[in-house]
Amino acid sequence: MKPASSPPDLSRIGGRALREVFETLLSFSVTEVSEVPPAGDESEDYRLVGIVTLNGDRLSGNVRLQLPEDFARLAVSRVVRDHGGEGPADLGIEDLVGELCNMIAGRVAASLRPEGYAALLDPPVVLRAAHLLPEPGPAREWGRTCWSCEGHVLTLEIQCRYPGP
Amino acid sequence: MTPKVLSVDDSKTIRLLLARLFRPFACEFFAASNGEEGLAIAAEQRPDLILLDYNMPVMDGIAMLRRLREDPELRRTPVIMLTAEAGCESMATVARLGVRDYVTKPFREEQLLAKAGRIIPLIARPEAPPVPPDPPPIP
Repeated sequence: MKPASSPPDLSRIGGRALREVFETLLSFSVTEVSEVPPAGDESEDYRLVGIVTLNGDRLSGNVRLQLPEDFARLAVSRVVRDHGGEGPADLGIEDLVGELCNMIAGRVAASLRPEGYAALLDPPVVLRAAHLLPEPGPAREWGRTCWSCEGHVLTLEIQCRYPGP
Repeated sequence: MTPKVLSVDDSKTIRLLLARLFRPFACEFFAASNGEEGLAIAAEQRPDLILLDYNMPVMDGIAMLRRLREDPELRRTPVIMLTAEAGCESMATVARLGVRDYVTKPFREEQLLAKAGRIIPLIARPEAPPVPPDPPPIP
């Protein structure tokens, strides 16, 4: 399929994907918020970062989901409680963050395909890192949105490069 | 005979969700974290249904599916594909390899159970017990 003349709106695509995944898997509602600087609170600044790489003929990039570790614990509790688990110990927070990112990336890829940018996903990678700030890059290749969920701030970034024909 | 369900997924979260989801249906539930492990368990247990992730390290869902279809003992095993990627072009390949159905993650439980119930009739949403008839009037 021929790519669309204007690049896809990555912020809109990512936001829709994040909402769908959080509402379906976790039954959490999310609200988009303006860019939030690091709070200086270590527990919030120390984050789990899920990364899924997208690979295609006309697109390469990644989807990056940053969550405070406290939020990831809360999400694990939600999944385990909703499914009758004994406690969060039987489910790793890294695994859940990776899976959340994978599901979001899957929906992002599904939205990019009809616009002419088909891509496959690599398995998710999860890192622990200090609050990662946006990397510089052309606006057309970046989508970055911040979300409030259950009192925590989450960040979703999508970076796409569109090599020429 | 107790139906056997095998989940092959690299995510512990998904394996846990599926184990819990199928627990009420008196299924024997098995889990593997990649295609290679999945093939070994499938050969040993002969599952009635495989819930197969598409994107996994070591051996992905497509590779496991091809191996299953080459095995005369396992080639007819029903498979439902679980994928994070809705509308993936490779779904055409999956369909050619005889996958019964697929669901997109995160899945809605009712949706997955309905698809599994078409393969294993025992699996259906537990229904509320019928309301007993009114007792006869006391004379």
